Amino acid sequence: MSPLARAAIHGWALRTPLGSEPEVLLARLLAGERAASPCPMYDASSYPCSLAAAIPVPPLASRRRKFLPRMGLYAVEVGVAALAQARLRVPQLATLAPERLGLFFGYGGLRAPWDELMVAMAEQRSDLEASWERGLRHLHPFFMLQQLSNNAHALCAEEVLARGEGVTLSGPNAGAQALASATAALAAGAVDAALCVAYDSLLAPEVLIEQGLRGALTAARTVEELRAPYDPEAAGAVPGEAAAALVLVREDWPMAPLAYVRAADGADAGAGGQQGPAGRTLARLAQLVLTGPVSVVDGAAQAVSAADRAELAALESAEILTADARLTATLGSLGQVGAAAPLVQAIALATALRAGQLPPVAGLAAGRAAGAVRLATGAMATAARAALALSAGARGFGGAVGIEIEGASHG
Amino acid sequence: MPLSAQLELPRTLPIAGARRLAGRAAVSAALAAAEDDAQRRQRKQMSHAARLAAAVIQGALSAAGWTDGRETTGAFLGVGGSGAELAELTALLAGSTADGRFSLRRFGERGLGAANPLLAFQLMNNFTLCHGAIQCGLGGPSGAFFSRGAGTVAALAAAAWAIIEGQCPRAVAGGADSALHPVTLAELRRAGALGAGLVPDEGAAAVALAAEAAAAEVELVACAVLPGEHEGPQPDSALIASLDPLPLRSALQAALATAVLAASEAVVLSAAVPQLRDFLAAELHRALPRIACIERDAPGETLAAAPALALGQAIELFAHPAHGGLRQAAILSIGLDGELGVVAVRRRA
Amino acid sequence: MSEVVITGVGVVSPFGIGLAPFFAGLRAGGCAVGPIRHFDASALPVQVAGEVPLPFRTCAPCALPLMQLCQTRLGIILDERSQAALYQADHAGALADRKVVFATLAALEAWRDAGCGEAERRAPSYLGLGLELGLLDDLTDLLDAQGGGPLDFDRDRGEPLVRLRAPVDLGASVVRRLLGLQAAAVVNVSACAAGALAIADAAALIRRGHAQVVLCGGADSMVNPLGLGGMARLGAPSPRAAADACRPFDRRRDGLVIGEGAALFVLEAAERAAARGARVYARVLGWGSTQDGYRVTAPRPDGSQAARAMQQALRRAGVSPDGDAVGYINAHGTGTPLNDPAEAHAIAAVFGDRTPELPVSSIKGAVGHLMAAAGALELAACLLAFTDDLLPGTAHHREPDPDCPIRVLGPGPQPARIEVALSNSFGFGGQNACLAIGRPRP
Repeated sequence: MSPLARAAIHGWALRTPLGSEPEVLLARLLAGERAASPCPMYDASSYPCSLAAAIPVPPLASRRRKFLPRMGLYAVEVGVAALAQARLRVPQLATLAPERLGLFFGYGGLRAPWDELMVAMAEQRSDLEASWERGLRHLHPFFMLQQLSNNAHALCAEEVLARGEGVTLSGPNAGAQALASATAALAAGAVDAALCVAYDSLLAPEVLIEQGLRGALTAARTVEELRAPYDPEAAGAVPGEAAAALVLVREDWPMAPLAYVRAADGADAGAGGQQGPAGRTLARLAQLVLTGPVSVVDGAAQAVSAADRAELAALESAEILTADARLTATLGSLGQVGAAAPLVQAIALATALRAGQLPPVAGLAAGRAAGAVRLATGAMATAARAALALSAGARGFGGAVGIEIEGASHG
Repeated sequence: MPLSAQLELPRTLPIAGARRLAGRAAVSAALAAAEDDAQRRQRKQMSHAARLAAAVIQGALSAAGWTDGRETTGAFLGVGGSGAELAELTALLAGSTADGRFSLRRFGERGLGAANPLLAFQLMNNFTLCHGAIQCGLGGPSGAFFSRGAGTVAALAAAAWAIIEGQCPRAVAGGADSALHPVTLAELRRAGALGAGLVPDEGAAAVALAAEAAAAEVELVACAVLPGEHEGPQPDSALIASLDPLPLRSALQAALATAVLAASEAVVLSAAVPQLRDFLAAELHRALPRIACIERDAPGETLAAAPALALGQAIELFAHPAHGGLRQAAILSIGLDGELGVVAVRRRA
Repeated sequence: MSEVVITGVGVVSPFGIGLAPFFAGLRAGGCAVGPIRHFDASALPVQVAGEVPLPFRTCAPCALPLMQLCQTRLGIILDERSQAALYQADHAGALADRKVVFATLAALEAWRDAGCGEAERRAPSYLGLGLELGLLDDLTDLLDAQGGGPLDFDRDRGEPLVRLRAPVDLGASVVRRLLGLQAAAVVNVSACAAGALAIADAAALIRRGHAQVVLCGGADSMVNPLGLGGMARLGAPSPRAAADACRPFDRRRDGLVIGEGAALFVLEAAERAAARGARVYARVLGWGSTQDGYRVTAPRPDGSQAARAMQQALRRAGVSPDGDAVGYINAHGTGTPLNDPAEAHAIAAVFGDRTPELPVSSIKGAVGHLMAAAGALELAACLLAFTDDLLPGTAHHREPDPDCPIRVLGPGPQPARIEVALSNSFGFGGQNACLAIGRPRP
């Protein structure tokens, strides 16, 4: 039985490479689509990893544009949209005192704004002589504001009038950390509603270079060459990006929620292979968020053969899967979305369970399973009311999310 | 179109009669005297402002001697906010409480039933006009215009143009309102208007306009609302658009430069707060130093009624022996809506 | 005198945000009346309404969701100035009133549809707006603050006793600032006739040469506890909590359904519209306004003053009721026992022998009675006759009433090519308005 309290989800929103509506995302996942394409943001053809999965729609025009980079704008968008939906579903949320609404943000970390930096740095000397005249003066006046770690959090708080407790977290599993913090704050009564937002983009050039060289990202040049996660010959994931938001309240609120969630985060210093956490770390996190064996798992989808095998083996040996369990891989379709993964997976899984359908591991041919756990190689019906999502980040960070929909038995 | 052409009516309209109730004392006395049995029975359907309006509409018609032709007589009024009687609202609320707090469930099950079933006729803004129109049997074109001053001048202009364009041969036009309604008063206090010198009061006034009226001594010459050049954020108070006179400076100076206003010998100033009044007086003195500046005799602010009361006051000037030589008078009004109302009346030849 | 044309239309209706879903709903003969969702109406005597499917609550900060709605549904991206005006309005609490949000959306759509910009900033605005929202909320907050005791407005407190959240003209104020309009805004509050009268006044302004472009229309929402409750106490709404609660001109009719929404138009001098190549939806030919002067609680049973309003509109339009120029009447048609026969008699009095063949319909069964916005939305419905050669149907009209001896169209739309349409609005308090519009010139 999980020691963690669960929270009720009453609003959600997301921006992903395969859609900005949960139902649209599910439809495309069920169709086995993969968002990977040659990097559309810049010419990465000479990079170790040249494929990417980008959010196709630009952020909505907003006066915040001056103060936030692109992913930050998505973050505010999804936060506001999730809360608007929740306020429609639950009237009490519309009249909740601002001091009782908390914001919990997790983002992947600072990314170098190359377009602006190149203008400022191109003419610099190594001794930084006359650095101002040589280009620093061309920086936008709000450059520092845009780089502030908690700027999106602050601007979102202004938009939704949230003055409750909250936090901004940064790192590869910041989404799971934010979600865990939010559920803990709710359980402790520190807030009555929590808006949890996570956003990240692995499409920055330095990420494609570094992670590509490490082998965490695919070297495939075309989607046809790309190996799906859990394929024995998988050799790296596709970098992606996403922003997602959940509105959480304690589960004792009378309104039927969209779903229930538990979250846990952890790390093991990358002892599990090239980058990610060890399989046993993921299994341990999974046990924290589950109240019993599950039949649906959305795997970490690292698409690195050794890591995939370790994950599946650890899940099997931890006895947290039912006999008929199936594993899917949202991140195999979307690409690795970094800190946003746990929230994106939560929304995708809950939507799938509510629809009674399980998407396949996109691109995985039947019979190419990497381990003993059965993988979904085609869209299939499911009566499951509980599911597990796992996410893995660089340097051994991991996250686990337990999703339940109404009718799930829980302790 | 040049401002003078917008301001000045293409033809003058005789003012056949007028009636005004300025201030709380006058209102109370008039209402007590005016009611017959039918009106007492109808009272529960009428807000306080509706009663004021009915009194001055009836009064203007009587002053004009219009006992027939009412089925084609128009009615145009500047009206204020919802005028629900506090007794009805408190009864409604008293029946809607559970554990000392408002309960929507109790409201539906009990509170609604505790209020007068005709409460809606008090709440709806247009009934400030309609009760009087119904009592007097008016059947011509009509318009209820929301007003904190400028809307009443718009109502007057609508009445004038309805006659000029042949929609009706006659019309009653004016304004009725009370700044003493507790909800309004509370908002005025909160918005700082009282601190800015606004003195809340109540009143109503109406004039009877006609295409032809042989006995009329005064005629309407000009009437228009001029907007201010307001920039900047939405004001925090929903009731007060602006107490800043500067956005109106251009409009006022342009109006004072027109021939129709320059021909006025006296101007009645109606302003919601002292700083607006001082602004009007200063600009008037600068542009037309010879003009006589007259304070409105209803010193309190009556919102939708204010310009109509000022117009009534201007009309009375012509009847006063001391102003036997007066040929033309104007009204300049600035309410809480930040717009300038300009009206001019003239002694008929 | 200038001819007046409609060059821009913006609609928010129970069918959705924008003119397109409104027209789609009418084309399909659909019904947008249903259970009230945006607050708990289960204890109220009225539980169905024509409710606008707004995807956010206006009682919470909503500037960004509103902007997002503009972008996703209307394809309108606000410039910096408009965004700032919207945020300021939200911060001042001005968007808490649903009809202010409706007016904002409709104004933006109409303005963009007409291709208006800086050159039109001197346009006056004439809006028909309904009862202020918030009176009940204000008083209940006060009640709660006083612990439920008798209301005491004179007690001196540091915090405001009462906050008037949304006076009637707030929508006009927000729209003006949003579009950067510099001319006066006139707010007509003539109840159910307000929207039509605002359009008539706007047209009159252009015809007499006082303006070249005017923004006009109506916005209202009485879908709130006090609005619904007050109407219910009058006995006006149907007691049935069903989608077909309103059955205009039907023998089984038993009351109206309250709706909400907005319809705004850009009216323009015809020569100006032609000079800039603007699309013309219709010509505004004439208008009429009368009062019943009869009773507070009922219209004149013979509809005589309503008939006079129609006759005035036709006279001003230069159209005879005897010929076949008028091809359609969009009736006020509230579905109440008293209004429908009174209006039917009025139509018969005006059109005489032509009455049995003259198509009449009411959209109130489909969208509800939008009160101050009714005349405006129903004028927008008339435009379907010129854009699609289609006359809107009368939702839920299945059993004609012998007391209403007019030709009422059934639920589905009817194809027809007409030249002139009339739109009637006969309001509470006896204020009557009629608009006559004509097909655009070829």
